[in-house]
Amino acid sequence: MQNPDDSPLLDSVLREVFPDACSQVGKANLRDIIARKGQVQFASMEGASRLDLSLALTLLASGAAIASHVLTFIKNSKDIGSKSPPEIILQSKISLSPELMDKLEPATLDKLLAALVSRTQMNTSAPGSDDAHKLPNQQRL
Amino acid sequence: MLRATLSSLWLFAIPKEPFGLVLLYPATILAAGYHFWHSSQQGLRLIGLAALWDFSVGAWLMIASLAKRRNALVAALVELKDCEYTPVGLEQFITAEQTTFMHKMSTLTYLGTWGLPIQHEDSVEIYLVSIGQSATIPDSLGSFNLPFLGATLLIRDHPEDAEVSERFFFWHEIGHTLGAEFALQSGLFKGVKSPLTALVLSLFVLGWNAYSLVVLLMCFVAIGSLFVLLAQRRTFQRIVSEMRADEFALKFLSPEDARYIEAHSEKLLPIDREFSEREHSHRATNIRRFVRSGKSFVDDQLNTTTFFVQSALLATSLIGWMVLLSRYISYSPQMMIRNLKWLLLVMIIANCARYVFFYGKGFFVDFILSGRIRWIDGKFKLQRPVPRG
Repeated sequence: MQNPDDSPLLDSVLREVFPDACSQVGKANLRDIIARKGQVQFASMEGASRLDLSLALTLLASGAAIASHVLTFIKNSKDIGSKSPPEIILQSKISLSPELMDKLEPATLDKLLAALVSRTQMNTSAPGSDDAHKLPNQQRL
Repeated sequence: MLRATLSSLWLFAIPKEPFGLVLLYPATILAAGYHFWHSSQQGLRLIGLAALWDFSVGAWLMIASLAKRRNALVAALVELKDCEYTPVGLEQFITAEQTTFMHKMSTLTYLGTWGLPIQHEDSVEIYLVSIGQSATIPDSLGSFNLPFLGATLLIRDHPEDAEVSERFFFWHEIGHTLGAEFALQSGLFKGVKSPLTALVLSLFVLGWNAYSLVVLLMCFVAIGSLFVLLAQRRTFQRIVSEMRADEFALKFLSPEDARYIEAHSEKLLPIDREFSEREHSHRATNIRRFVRSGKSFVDDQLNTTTFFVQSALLATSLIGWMVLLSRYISYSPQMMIRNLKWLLLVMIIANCARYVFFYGKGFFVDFILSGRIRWIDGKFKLQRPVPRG
């Protein structure tokens, strides 16, 4: 399960990068996808009269999986606090496995990483923000 | 009870135009044609048996149509494995005004006025799906509509707690339960199966010569034309059903919410793999026009008259060729009656068996949705009923 403190951060990142998909799938689906770091399975409703949400759900699950991985990477990197956002984005991208990289279009991936990094930095600079999202070096400072 | 039975017969078993006649009673047409050409004492008995045969083929196709949807629901519930289901009553959040509107649009309520024991609210079951250990969630907002037996909706958020688009999608799915498309779906599913079966059976009793061969060929050409017409209608009907459900859903939203859907319709509507990009865009345009003008434009596109004329012409031509074909039947009436009796017996037994199987799956569905059957250690297991409260 995802660290519960990361859920609001992931929620806001996914809502920023995939606003239409979030709106389509609704609260419960988004909550479950975030809580399970995108590791969800989809049951087909084939044969029903249905509104097919599979594309939006797959997109969000991919986004959540990548965002969770990058968040863990940033937290575990000791020297990342001294780097600029573009450098962090580049390092985060390098840390992704080919399977994770292939889940999203390059432009969407860049947008997701930028949103995630900016949120992480925003949280560290905001007074009284949650320590869970602080970069290791900045936490020490 | 008597009124309901008579109404059912009038509504579903009595054809109102040539199209209905040839799709419902093809064997009866052949038998009547045979009696016309080779008048005999056994002729009327043969017509009666042929009508029973057609009735049982119709019942088989109807059960198949129902079973198709129930099988889809069973498959979805099996795939959802360990999800929890919480029933949500429609009456919890529907206003009196909305109920009146729903009744006005509901074919089921209309059938209720004919004495059939059907109420719209009773026929819609809504379940809130909660994720389980296997982390499986439905890939769609799905409504499994079983004509006249009810609809099961699987949703993820309570409609009162849902976002605008979700509420729109929810009422859209309720729009699919209204019943107007039930009869059409069922009719389109049956298609030309019944006349095709009658023609294939006629191959065994025909006297073969050049004339019978040409007439038989013409019968198959007429059936082929009907098949193509129905296939076109099926594709078109699918998009029309979606647009009707969209319009129904918009009636249940506040003016602000409807305007939100109007503004974002192109992006909000999920990409349906069965529709082309053009059809998707057409649907979004229909939403915008409906919100702005409050008028439905779906009926303008249906071309019901064109379809009626085309289908009536093709059906009449098929009836004509079938009557002509019956002239070349070489079997004696006694032989045909004896064979038809056996076929009828087999069909009735098959119908009963299929219905029992279908009914049994209904128990499985009820038990999963009520939590009596649960996914434990990789398989479904029957649980003792837990006393409520």
